[in-house]
Amino acid sequence: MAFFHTLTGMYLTQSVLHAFLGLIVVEISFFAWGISDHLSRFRYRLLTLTLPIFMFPLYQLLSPERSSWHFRVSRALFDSHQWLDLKAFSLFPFAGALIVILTGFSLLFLLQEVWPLFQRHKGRSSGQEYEETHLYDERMHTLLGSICRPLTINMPSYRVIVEELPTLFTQGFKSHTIVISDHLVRTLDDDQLLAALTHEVVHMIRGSSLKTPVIYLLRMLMFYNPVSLVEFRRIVHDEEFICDAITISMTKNPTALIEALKAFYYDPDEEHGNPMQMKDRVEIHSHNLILDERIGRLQGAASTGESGFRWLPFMLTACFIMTTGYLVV
Amino acid sequence: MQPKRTFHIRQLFIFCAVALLIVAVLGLLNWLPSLMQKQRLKHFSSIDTIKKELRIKTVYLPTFLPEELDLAWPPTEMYAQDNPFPAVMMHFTRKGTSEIRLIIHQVDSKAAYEFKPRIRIRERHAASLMTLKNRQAHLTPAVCDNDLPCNQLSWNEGGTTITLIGIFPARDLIRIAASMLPGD
Repeated sequence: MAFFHTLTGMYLTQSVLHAFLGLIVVEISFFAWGISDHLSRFRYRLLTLTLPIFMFPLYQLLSPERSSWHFRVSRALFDSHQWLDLKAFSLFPFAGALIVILTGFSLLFLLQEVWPLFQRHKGRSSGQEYEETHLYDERMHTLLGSICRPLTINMPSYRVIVEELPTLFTQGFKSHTIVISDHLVRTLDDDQLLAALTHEVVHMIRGSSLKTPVIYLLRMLMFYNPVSLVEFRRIVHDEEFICDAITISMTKNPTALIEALKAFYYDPDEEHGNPMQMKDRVEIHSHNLILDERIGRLQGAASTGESGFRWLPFMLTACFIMTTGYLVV
Repeated sequence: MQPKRTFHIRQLFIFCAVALLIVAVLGLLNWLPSLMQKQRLKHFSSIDTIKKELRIKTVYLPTFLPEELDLAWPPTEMYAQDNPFPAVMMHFTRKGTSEIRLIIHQVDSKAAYEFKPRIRIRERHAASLMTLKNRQAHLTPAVCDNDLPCNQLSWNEGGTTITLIGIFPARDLIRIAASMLPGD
């Protein structure tokens, strides 16, 4: 198909190919270098998310010859056009299949990520704000103070909202606000609430509220890319694992954090209102699975490999992705 | 200290081995389409092989190359395909060098995309219509890479577009093109 011979078509194809290559190389690096700590994994996965965005334009800038047919035939290690020009049973072009896949993932992105954002924004603008309660101010103030004082950081503001679901997140980029549901404040004991709030403070210190939107922006740029979809979620999960590990090192009480996390389990059968749709059930199931994994880690599933970030293996991995990617057209 | 170093060397070895494996798999994936569909774009070592392996009836070749141009014969590089459309690309270098001075492309006129010539035209001047052995041809004076003056000549030959780009005067290019066609 002629589209895949244009620069736009080449960018689309190669960004997906480079992301796949990055994914495979990064996963293999975890195995080869014995990487099991989430901080290192987080950094490696960022390679898979970021490099494919810039690789094609960078290569084009350095060597415009790379997009020529001559480079593909004489120097490329893998030429995607060879596959895209093929036709299954002499009828269905493989290029058509790629278009279908990319369109499918773009639609998935729209429905799964853009539409809920739009709905949330609509909800906010129509005044569907949460009611706030000040019943737990003293407890919250004491706990947050005990977390922030030893760290010599400013205590973040907080909002306790009237909500029957377990909700806890941090808002704001520069000055942070911890938003928590009164349901959680009521359910968790002091140790558990301390662990949950420490986790949020760690997010604050690590700048997660700034980092996550930037990573999300990168993911949005690759909205059609199936690898970016998967890697974005894994990166966000890694961030949670990192914050869990730091929280435990601060509170020295893994049990409290485990119990706090258990409060976040959703039971699909307990949903109020309308019967739940399949999509919601799947989302709840995946949410619970992530909690299972986090709890499993905290329950002493010690890392099997080396911990600590090493620059040399990281640079070798990045260099290998970049050099091989140059020959994947 | 020693066991840690050995451990890291072992890790490096595993990484290199797996990296080689990835390269091999990519090579294999690149080779598979040629098994599934023959006559795809590839390098050929001679004109005879092109004629033998592909269904291209006529490969338009110059029977005359001006001596003063010092062009090597046979063409230094030959690429051809039948699928997804017939195409033959030939590159002629100056004798004893790797500088491409003449390229000849013959591509199906209904081709879905074009093969960008290896001699890159940077600036085109106004094209003129001329007659080449009773055929209408377009001659375009141009400036190619490294600010070298060059010329492009192209015409349609029974459903095939033939394009010549030469880094030499138009007169020589016309003589070469004329030698590719039958008749006076």
